[in-house]
Amino acid sequence: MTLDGGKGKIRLARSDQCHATVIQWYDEYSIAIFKYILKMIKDEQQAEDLTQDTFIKAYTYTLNNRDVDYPKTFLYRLAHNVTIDYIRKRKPLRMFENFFSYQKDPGPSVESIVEIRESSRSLYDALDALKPSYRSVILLRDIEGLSVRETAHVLGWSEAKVKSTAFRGKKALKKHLAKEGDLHE
Amino acid sequence: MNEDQKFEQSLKDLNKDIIWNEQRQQQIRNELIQQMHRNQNSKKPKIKRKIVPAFSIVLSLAIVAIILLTEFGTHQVLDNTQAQLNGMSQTDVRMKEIKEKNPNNHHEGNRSLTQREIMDAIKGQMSSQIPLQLPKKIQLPEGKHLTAVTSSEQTGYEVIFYQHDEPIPINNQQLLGEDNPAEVIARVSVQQYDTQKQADDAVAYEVFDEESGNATTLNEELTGYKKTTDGSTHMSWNVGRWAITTDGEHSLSTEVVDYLDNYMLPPPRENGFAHLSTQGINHIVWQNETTVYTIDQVTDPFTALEIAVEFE
Repeated sequence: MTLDGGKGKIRLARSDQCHATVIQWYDEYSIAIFKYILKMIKDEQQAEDLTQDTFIKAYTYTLNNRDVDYPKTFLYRLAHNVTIDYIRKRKPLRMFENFFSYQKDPGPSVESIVEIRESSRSLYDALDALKPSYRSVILLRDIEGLSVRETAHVLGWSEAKVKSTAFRGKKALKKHLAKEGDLHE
Repeated sequence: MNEDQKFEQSLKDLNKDIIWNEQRQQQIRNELIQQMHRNQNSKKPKIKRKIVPAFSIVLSLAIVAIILLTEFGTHQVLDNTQAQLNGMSQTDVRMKEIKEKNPNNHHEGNRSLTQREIMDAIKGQMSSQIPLQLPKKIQLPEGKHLTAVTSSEQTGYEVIFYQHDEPIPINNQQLLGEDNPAEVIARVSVQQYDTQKQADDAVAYEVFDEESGNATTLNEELTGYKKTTDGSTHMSWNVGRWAITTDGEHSLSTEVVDYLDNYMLPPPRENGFAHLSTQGINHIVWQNETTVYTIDQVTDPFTALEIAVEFE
């Protein structure tokens, strides 16, 4: 066996190992990651694309011999970053680009990608009315159930900022629900 | 169950009420597997990935050096080329130039660069379409030397400041490795956003009032609002166009108010927000219209404030 052949095999073994790890993470966390992205952007197809991007980024990261101690917060952080990048880049022109460009087959109709029960529809809609910083901190802390420290790590904020923004975000959310008549005694 | 409990419960239940089609989840899984295979197969061989670009860079540098020597042949170019041949980085060369321009400013026999010169050298490592602004100086303990790692793009730049017992050139390999011996002082990042709204969202300015907590007198002119959540206390107040939140020790808010009586934070357009903590995580952010300045990765709240106060 040549030296290069040996290295090639080692590289292949490493790549297979990363591949298996990322698929294991996908099986464990993809639903949570998809739901987080969906609630951030409220676009089912785009949420699927960004979920896939999240795991591809995780694969590239592990492929570069970098270790991940806490896959859950690591994946939420990647998902948050790809989502914020998407929100920043989203432009009105996108609508025209989509209209004129090739679109991949979405598979089943858009309606069947996600089902949202009526009991939570108003809350789902109200979250969309919040600014992204409020939305992301409420999703991570109160819906995904991350601790203050984990949320701070995902968002790249201080723990103090997580606490204060979550407090103000929930106040704004309650106000919005009350305005819409969805928060009753 | 009261209204607050119902609200908290509805947040907890939201995920249960959103169901992702299993077939779609499986389809994305398959696409992910295919894309990972494509990425794996599209990896170029090492000779193409590393050796060819490295050889191209060396060849380009050699051609540029020959042209410069032919065209100008100045003493300085000879010095720089010689220095690079001796393994010095561009930063080392720039430091050498600065030293030569100021031969009278010596410290303990060897001339130490002033912080202004170090900041200029840091700026020399970056390229961006927005003006490069940094703090004029950063206070260091006796015997410590300032260095930094920089990165920049068209719409932003980032500088991580370090301190170490020995001088380390800016962007030196030592600072990039896992065994980096230097200690992080702070990270300064500047980002230009496309819209005012994006910049406003990045600052996330707040106006505090009675709904933010119990009113507390901070001094004759300032009222803070104290709130305890999850066992920790925050004090929040507005001063000028700044919002400030402190947590941890109660005395921190008083000390910050005293400090800001004597020193002025950068005047933002429109707003700034300082999150200060004795727990080791501090974050100061402000805007000049669509450009947002951030200081973070700093453990001491007063170091964070000093860097903000000294900003150009």
